[in-house]
Amino acid sequence: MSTALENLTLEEGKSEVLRAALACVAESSSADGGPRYSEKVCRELARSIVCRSYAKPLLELSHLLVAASARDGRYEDLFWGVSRASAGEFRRSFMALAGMRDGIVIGTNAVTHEDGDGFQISYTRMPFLAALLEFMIMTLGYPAVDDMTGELRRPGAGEEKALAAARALQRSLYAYLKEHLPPVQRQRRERHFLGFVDMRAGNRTGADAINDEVVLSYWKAYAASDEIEARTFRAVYDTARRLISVIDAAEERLSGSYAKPIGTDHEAGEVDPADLDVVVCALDDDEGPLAQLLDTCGEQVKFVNQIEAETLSELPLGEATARRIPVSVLRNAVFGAAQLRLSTALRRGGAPIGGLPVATDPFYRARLDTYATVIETTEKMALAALWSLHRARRPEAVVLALELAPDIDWGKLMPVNGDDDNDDGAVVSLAAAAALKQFFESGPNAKGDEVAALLADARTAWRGVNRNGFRGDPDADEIDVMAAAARDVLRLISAVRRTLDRDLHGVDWPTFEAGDAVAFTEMFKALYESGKEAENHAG
Amino acid sequence: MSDAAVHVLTTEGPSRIQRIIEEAPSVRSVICLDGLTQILPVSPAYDAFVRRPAGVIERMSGHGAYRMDVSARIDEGQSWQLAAYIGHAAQLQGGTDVTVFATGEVDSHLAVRPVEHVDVKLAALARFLDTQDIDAEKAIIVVPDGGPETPARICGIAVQRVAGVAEALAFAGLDAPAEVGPIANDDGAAAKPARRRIPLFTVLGGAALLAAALFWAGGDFVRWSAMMGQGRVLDVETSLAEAGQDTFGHVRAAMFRTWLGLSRPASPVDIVGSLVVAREASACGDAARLDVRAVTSAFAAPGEICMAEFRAVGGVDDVVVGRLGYWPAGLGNGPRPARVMRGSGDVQGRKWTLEFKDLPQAGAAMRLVVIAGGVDISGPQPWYQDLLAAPLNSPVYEAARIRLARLGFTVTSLDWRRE
Amino acid sequence: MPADDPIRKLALAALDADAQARALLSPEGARARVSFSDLYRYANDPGFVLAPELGARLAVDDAAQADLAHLLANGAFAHIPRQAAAASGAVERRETEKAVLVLTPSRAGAGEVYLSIELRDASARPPSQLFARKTGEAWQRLALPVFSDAQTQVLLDADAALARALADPETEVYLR
Repeated sequence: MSTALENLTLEEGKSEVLRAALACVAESSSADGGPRYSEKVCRELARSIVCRSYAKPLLELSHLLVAASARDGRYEDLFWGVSRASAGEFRRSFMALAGMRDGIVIGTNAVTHEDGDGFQISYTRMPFLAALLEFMIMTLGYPAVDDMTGELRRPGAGEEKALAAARALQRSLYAYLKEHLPPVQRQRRERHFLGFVDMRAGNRTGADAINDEVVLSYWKAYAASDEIEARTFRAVYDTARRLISVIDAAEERLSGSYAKPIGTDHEAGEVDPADLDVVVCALDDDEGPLAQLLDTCGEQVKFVNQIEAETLSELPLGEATARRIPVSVLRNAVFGAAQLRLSTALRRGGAPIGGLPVATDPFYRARLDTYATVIETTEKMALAALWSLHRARRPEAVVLALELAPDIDWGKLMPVNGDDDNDDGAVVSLAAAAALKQFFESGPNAKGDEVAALLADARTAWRGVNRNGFRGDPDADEIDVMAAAARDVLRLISAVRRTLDRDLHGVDWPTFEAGDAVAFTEMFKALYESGKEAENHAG
Repeated sequence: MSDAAVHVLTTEGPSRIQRIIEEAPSVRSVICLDGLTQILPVSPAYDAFVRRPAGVIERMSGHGAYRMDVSARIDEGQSWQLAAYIGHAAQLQGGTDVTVFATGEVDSHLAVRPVEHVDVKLAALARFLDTQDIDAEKAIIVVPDGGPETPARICGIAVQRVAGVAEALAFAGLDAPAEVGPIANDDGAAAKPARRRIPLFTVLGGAALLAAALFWAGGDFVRWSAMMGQGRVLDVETSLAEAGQDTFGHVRAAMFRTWLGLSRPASPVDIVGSLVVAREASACGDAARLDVRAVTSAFAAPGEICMAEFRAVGGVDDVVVGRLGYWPAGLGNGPRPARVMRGSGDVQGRKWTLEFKDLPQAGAAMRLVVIAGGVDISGPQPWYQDLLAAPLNSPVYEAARIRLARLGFTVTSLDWRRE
Repeated sequence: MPADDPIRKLALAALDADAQARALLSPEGARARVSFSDLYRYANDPGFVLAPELGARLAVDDAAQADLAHLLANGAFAHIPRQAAAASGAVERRETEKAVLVLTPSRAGAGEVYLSIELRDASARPPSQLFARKTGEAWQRLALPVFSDAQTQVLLDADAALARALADPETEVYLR
């Protein structure tokens, strides 16, 4: 027992050093006091460490260091010369280096190191690589990293030197993680649930075996058990949701043929780090569109306010969960929330069980209506953004217009002449440019043609909104954020619509409302009879 | 420095020069804020202003590195230079009892050049003065001549427009210091120094024998000569009187007086004057409605006299000093003149400007007393009491005139009255 | 799904890895360190002020100290190493082929001293910061005023840590 404790302490000590380094990276702040690296980048960094899938990123980083050293061999000035590690800031910084070094091509979307076959790094990848570099420095030390990458600073550093540096970094990181990364802990809850699923699977396999009946049954069976922590329906739902995500992703990954990446860092019998990384990544997809939009917009442009974000966060927006366990999604939203309120109230010595949905209430349908209302508001915000971006003549206005009004005959904007049939790419792009020009020259007119009417709607939407980024005349920063978020908001709308229209549609909600009201009330009574809550939470 | 301080006019209000201290020559001159270690960005320019060859302060003081502390930040540019120069001069001369507010650029010839935003600086000064209790009679505002028009007064303090540093110093109650070392102009000609000294053992004309005799006079002569060189005329007079108590002292004193007599100016002093007249008192501030008349002994015409100006020019080697006294009720009526103007150094002479607060009515009088000699007189000068009050043909006036003559000075006076 | 099913293995491994990644990102209990981003800003941005708690962390973080020393040395305008072992007494003058630093007591203020820096190459891009450290002590940093004619000057309290460090032969100096 003492050995186990000692080991636990030892492991905690190991991870404490590693956690300190990661915390440093995650807490790095930009000049305006905000985070230097986004949460998504930090999660990706942690994932690459845990999955040991850092080989390819280190190679990318090495090539990037060559490019960043173009001015005077000091790549530090580019990496830490940007306030916030964002694609936009890196793009601006690299644009200033254009032409400074042979073999480095600075493009609008990526930087290319042209030695050998050429190695391209997109600006959107750079925030993660910057975080990785800072992590390497925090763990291995700046003198050591400088020593390993010194050759990359010099003019003429080619593919060979980049590969050599990447390998040196990889070896050092491997040695460091061997010392400081504790063994992974097996997640007991998921294994227990999967075991239950296996018993009830019948002829269903994989994620198909996880359905609404299994989820509810598991909760009923183990909510009061000491064998496993499954007291809240929400926790069980989360477990199921995560299992669905990873099983689907694993199935897809292993069914495809993927070439093993160079320098794969794993021993025989272990899971391939690249496979592991992809599947772990899938766990973020459920939150993906909403988290991405919130990350892009920050406090500057409020496509979605806090209450709306909390509401939409109840929806699993990845491909699989809502399709497989639609009822569980609503059960979690309604009864998972109710259980949380209940247990909190009881802990504070509040009222006994009450205020729960009753069988005659259309509570699931009301919740669906709430989601629909929220996403309608988001669509209205997108329309308002169309007006703002149209006035600023930003091309993202076109993206929004095409998505929000796909039924419009956009061909009317194209010039009417014989050249329309010409296959010459130059003529097509000229026509597209003319259409674009006409789009921006169109004005709002509620009684006008489709584009004019759309712009009139957009203007009306704009006038009806009073949120950050949508007031008065937005400044250049707000326009930039709005433009950057245009695709994110469309992805969110699309994901929510798909979830509502496809995955959560066609369910016999009245029947479930009638049954679940009784079932959950009975379960809550059994779990939270007087005194039991306090007893369960004591010690 | 005395309580009366020198201020740099800035667009944010006046910045008081708190102190000026010599630093080690290897250090660059600095302007610091309020006694703190914060060196203001204008310091390199101040260093260039101090240090030879381009700087003018070292030429005056003989020292090339200073620390100046100011009460508030100083604007970038060169407009702080005039105030800084006045501050240094005051520091060298033991202070001034005139509160000075100044702006202007000073060039290597000690001319004062126009600067920008004088109107803004004066406005800021006015706001400052509203909160202060400064005796307007003992204060002066100095701005460059040649710039846009400026008010005659700000909160009762006269605004003087100057073309050169010497004028500014005079308004500040300071003497124009001699410069240490040669002053090289662009054309190679030596500029006329603002102040002259009689060098020791100077022999004028056929006084070689006298020099031999004076050699016998020994230490007294050296001492008296030095005192005269410092302008301590009254001290010399007192010392000469004391020396006369014994036989040899009497001889020595007599010889020295003879020597002083030889250095008395030979050239007469020319005096010209003008009156600035308006139809009515309210027009005194309107340049378009003013008329300038030459001064005569009396003024009987209608109108109001807003201002009087006199200029006295002596010989090339003469130093011209003097006082202009204004008697509103008539010459000598009252214990002392209502206004006494020291004047300011001018080309080969001196200028006095009197802007009347109480416009001269019938019976009012002015007396201009011009004293010319080899040195600028410093220290107590009791002879003005009689020279400014006594009628020109009176024994009292004549005694005062002779007294100065025996010390090597000529006295020329001019009277004016309003009839 | 059998226990050795590769899909199951991969899926559960992913969940384990995700849990570990989340745990690693949880800062509770982790000893706070000074990030390299902050060190970089400290070394390159005269306007960046290291918060007191960060300064305290830096003082006890040997790894961060080593990183900072390396960062200062990389790309420094000039390095003036510790004086020779035989040197004793206060240092009034330090020089390299790039710059000369002179300390001169002020006659105006008791306990104040001028630090003058003159660059040997008047056409060189002047440094904007000075870093000084006595062996075993914390770095002292000074934002330098604008150079005029390849010279600049600062007035320091003679008792200030920086002034004492500059006067100490055990101090090395970087100009950046």
